Amino acid sequence: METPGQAVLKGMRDALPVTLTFSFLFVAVGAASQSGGLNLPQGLAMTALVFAAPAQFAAIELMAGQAWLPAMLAIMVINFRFLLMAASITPYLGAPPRRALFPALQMLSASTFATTFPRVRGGELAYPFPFYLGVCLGAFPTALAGTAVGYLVQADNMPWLQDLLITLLPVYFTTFIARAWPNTRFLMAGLLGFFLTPLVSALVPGFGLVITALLVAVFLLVLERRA
Amino acid sequence: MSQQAMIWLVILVGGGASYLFRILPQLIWQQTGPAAANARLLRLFDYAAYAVIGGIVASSLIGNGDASPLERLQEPRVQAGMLAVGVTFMVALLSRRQILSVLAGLAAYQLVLLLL
Repeated sequence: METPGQAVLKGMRDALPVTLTFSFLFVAVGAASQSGGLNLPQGLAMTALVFAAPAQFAAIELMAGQAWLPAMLAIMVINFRFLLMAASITPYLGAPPRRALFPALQMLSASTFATTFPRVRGGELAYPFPFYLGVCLGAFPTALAGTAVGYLVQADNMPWLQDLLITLLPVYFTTFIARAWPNTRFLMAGLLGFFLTPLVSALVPGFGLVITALLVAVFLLVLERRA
Repeated sequence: MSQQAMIWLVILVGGGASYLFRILPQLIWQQTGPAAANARLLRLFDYAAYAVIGGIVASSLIGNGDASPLERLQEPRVQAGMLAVGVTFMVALLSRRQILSVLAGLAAYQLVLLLL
């Protein structure tokens, strides 16, 4: 029988590709923070509070041009997707105490979500919340450390390795879509999300992920009703 | 306000909004009862979640930069990434083995980059 501690370790193990990728991605965030005019505490605070590399890159670039309001809006628009992710994942995290759940939700990101959701939804875990914490423990401290390292060090020596590790994340998340098989509807949802999100993102910048996901979900729900 | 103060303001407001997005569903579930009580709503979010994962894969491959998706697809690295994702998907579907699928995808990516 699995213990909560083992579930945490399992989460950390599952998050290994995320940990590896974040160790490079957030080094780049840290370097961007420095060149964008942030000091180290600001760079770290941004990673801790915003915790989303795409939003951070966008905001840093805007702040460098002193576009304060657009920077705030960029973070809000890009991170709006967390609303949908949180709505999807929280029902499957069990019933942890609020004092544990609310701080833990700060560590919800695209990567921690994509690593956790298929596992907790599958019902294969006795302790879903400790598993989620394990995933976060693999990701969040790495992001903070990466930001600090990127800020303090010129770590730009192995672009091929960075490239490889940044490819690791989409490849790794693809396996979660494939694992939905034999549930063809979930598989279809993943594939439709894959093909439609870039197109919708081009039409509605910033909201492509959320709009596509909701459209796909409604479409499949209607299809389910007719079947 | 000084530039440093404005940076802090952006971080705190942006971070606060991000946190609100992360906890809002839980706050709503606490008021209305768990989402699990509404099977259709939960199903909607299940589908949406898988679509989000698919969207994250696509966005991380072709979603960055100012170019349109079609323009991005012309780039060798994006083409290699798409092929890697395709290989990973097929291997994962057929073998049901996660590590093997990831390794196959990464190998395909490097191979295509070498050939292009």
